[in-house]
Amino acid sequence: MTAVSSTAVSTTTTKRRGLRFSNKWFVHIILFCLAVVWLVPSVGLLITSFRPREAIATSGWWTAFSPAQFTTENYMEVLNAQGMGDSFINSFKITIPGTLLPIIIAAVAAYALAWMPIKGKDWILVILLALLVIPIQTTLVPVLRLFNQFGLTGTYMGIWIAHTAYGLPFCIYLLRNFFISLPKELMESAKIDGASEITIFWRIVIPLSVPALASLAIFQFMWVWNDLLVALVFMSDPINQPMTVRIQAMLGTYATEWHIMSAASFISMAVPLVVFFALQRYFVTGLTAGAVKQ
Amino acid sequence: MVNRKTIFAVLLAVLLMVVGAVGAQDTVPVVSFMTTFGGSELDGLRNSLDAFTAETGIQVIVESNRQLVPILRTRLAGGSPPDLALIPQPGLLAEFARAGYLVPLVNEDGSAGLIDAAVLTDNYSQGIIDLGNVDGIQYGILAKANSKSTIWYRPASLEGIGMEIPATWDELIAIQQAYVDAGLVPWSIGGADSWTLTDWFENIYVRQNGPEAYQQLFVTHEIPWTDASVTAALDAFRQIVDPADTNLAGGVDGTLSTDFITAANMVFRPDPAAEMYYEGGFMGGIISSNFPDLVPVEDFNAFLFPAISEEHGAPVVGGGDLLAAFSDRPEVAALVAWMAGVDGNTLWASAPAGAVVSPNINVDLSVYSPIAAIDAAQVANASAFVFDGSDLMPSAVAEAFSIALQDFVANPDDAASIFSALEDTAAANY
Repeated sequence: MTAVSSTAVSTTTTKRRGLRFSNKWFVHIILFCLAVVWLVPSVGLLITSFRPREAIATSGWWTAFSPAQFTTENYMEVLNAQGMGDSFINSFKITIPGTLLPIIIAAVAAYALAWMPIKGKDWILVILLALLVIPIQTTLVPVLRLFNQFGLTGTYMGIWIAHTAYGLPFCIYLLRNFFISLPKELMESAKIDGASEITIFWRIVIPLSVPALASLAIFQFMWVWNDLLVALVFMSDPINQPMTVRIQAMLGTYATEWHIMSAASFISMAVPLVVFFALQRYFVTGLTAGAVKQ
Repeated sequence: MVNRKTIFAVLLAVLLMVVGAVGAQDTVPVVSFMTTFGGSELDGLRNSLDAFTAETGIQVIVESNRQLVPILRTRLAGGSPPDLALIPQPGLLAEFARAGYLVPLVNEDGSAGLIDAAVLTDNYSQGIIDLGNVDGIQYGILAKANSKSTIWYRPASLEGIGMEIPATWDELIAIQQAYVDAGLVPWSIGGADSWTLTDWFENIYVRQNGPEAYQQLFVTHEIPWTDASVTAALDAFRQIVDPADTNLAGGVDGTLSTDFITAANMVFRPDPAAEMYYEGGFMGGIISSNFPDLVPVEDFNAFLFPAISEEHGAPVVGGGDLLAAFSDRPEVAALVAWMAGVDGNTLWASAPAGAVVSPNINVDLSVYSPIAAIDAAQVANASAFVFDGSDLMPSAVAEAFSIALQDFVANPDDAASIFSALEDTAAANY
């Protein structure tokens, strides 16, 4: 692919090169416009979150700069709300195991499905794909009954199991497709050198799969962090509730507290953003992981 | 590449969290309580519950949940309901009662269930008690009431056109005309939230036809949506919404794309786009927190939705939440008695923030803030109290009803066909 295009460039005239140059700008302008369209709601929310409640009720965020009226009171109100600090910690208690457990289990399972000689592993994969399309809502009642029997309702253990189970099909599927794209020769030569499956998994597959693992971690982290439904159903005790549940409890029946909603959204967004930027360099390589077989 | 020691450390940390999570259980009596109230409303409820805890030592865990109905259904089906819930719809209370989920407050023969019958009869009017009665058994009690018959306005604006608070529909229409003549827009309606339109219709209907016909239309469907009484109510509503360009802020498009909060803001902001706003008594709290500079009663106030016929007067259309119990432990019974009694209600009604209007007749009207007092006075003085009709209908019909009214606002000429389509939906769902 690269070779073909470079020969093409070398034989083109200056005129063609000029065309390419303007093409590039054209693409950039379109990308810029798309980025603006995508960002406008978030920017609006950000500006709103710094406006006093009365100003939010009076006019739209785009009028915020004339006259400029800004306050950090909304953030203070959210941060000082009773139990907000605890719920922030709770969110981590739920999200970190809720991210690591499925990825660890999925990595092992995906390796087995990709490289170990198991009979009917294609069928296992088909079943996993089928699990991907089951809406989470249909499972809530049966899982809740099961949890009641084992006393898991309202415990961290319960919600970790729930998030792990809900995340696993996608994690296994993504990792399996990535693992299978690794060069076969690597596994074969390792085997000839006498490596066990565990050694191959640990020493070869995992180090080569850091981009895929990192991007999966971003996905799973954001899903679990932003989850409200699973927490509402399985985490009934407010003491253990994550931030999403705490934030919605700050809103009245008619959700008229727009100043709180906007500030709280940004506070809750901060952590996934940090995770995203920390792992971002893996993200682009990882996103297409397993999409094509080389 | 990732250091294997780091991975081991992380795994160890996860393991420790797993082990640490298996914590000890506490032995203090605890009651769990699910409600849609949040924010300052929750503070108001807490004002009463904290006093209960201080008095009895029973802890109350409040689960505030904005999606109460689906979550409560899921938790019931999954076998882990809360001990108590504030249920926003009588229809839902009846459904849970018939499914056998609820514990009777008072048994069918009048003997004490969770509480003595006297707790209810001493504190509530019969009409309010009946809202929690399902097939002759008392399963719930209205814990909080709201008038939805309040028209909010700026007294200065009404004086500006030389008019007074209307007592009849004709006077209201005269005010509307006076505003139009003065080059002002009389109404702001948040029609994007279609329940504001159903509330309009319900108020007009109950004033024209009385509470009995109201029940027959919304609850039992003995009166069809093609009935002449419905057409008459729509004709009256049409006087408000047509012509939209002069009567409604933003015309048809503006009305149908404005949510109910923005619609109220449009009347009370410094450069108002309209002069009057109809919605429930709960708007008072919203307006005063959005515009803290406005003095209640002086700068913004509300009047009762005026009577249309002399025969039926001005019944109050209202909403509220019914307290119901899912378990019968003694601490649950104690909390129900507290919530139904005069002390619990007075503390809730007089909370510094998030106070509610209590339907308990022994709560003194003087405990309310000036804003809540407007609402409370309407509930207390109501010639009749009917529950919000769209909360009493099967949910599919309620949805079709609200969409039908949005269609009506957009095309008032098509009223007949819109409502005969609604009748088809209703016929299939009762």
